[in-house]
Amino acid sequence: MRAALVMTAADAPRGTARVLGRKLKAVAADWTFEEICPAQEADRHALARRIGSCDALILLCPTAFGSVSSGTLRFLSDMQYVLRKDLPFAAVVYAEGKNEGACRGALRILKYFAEKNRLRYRGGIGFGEAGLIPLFARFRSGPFRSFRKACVMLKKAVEAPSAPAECYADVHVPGAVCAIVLDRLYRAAASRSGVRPRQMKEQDKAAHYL
Amino acid sequence: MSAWRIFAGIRTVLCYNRRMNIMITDTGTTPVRPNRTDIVLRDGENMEMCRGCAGCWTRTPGVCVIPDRLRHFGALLSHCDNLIIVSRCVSGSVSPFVMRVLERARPFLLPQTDRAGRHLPRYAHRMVLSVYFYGEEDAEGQACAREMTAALCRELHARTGSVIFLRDAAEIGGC
Repeated sequence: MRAALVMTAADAPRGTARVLGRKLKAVAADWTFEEICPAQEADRHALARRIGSCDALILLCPTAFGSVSSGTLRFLSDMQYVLRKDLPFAAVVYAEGKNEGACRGALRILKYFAEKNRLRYRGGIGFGEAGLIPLFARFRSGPFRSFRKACVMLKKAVEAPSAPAECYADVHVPGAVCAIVLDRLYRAAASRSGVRPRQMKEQDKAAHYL
Repeated sequence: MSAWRIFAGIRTVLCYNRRMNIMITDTGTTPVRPNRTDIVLRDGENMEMCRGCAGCWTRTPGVCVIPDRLRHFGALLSHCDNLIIVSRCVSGSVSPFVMRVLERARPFLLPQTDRAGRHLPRYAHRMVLSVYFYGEEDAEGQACAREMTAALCRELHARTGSVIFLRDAAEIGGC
């Protein structure tokens, strides 16, 4: 069995790797997916050992102002000396809403990081919202297909190291469902805080936002 | 109306009308000498990470829910003429500390977005953003950093100032 580490952010939904492992049996039966949140790992040495011994790395990170988030930057800065050469690496970035430019900027930075540290970059995928990953994995919809493509790329990278890298920097944005989920999220937050409906309408204007 | 109330009102108006510069530095030094009204944000101060709760859009619009130094960072940016960033270039981006501060700028924006997915500004004011990168970076890393700075200006609705690359942090100066 080969082990792929899925690095997630602190605010990402838990259980992504578990859902992936269940759904990806047909594509990658001999792979196990383990989820780690570097921000919540107190023992940095143990984290470094796990990263050093894994067979592939999938980075699941949020975007921020055309770059990756501060937690991801800290991870890249701290762990760049631990990552072994030719480690298969794929990135899945998510931007809030439909910000395609943010996804492309983050993917470019991650690609540059991989080339600089001589990782075997297999591509990156960007899409709408982190909270939608388990949702789409359940419904076998768009981003799940994108994530599966990332896993297939990783599998190819391990089994055929000489194959050329597939730079798959497509931005898949699930517009309609993203709209519904965000709308509910904002309305729930507004009702919890006791904001009146009229104020809420002025504040978030969910229809316009989405 | 009492004299004290009039005085308090005038003071509030003056406070909200003052112009200043904000400097975010991970070296502790700044390229220009800060005035009394300027704000310098250095590493190691009381500044937490953004939790991504969107509370600054829904619960307390315009104000962050985390009670630390960056709670009113959005309002401060609305009075800022120049935002100066001094950062190590990390993989074609800014350092983790600088990004941690920038992520707290979410109250400066509205939750609504335009067609390009860019958040609309909460305030009409536009600042000038200048970045001083230091560290050993090749041409590709510098190109990434320039693109990231342009994206940052687009997102914050700021005008692009100078983007300067230096080999060593000591070249920035010691103010």
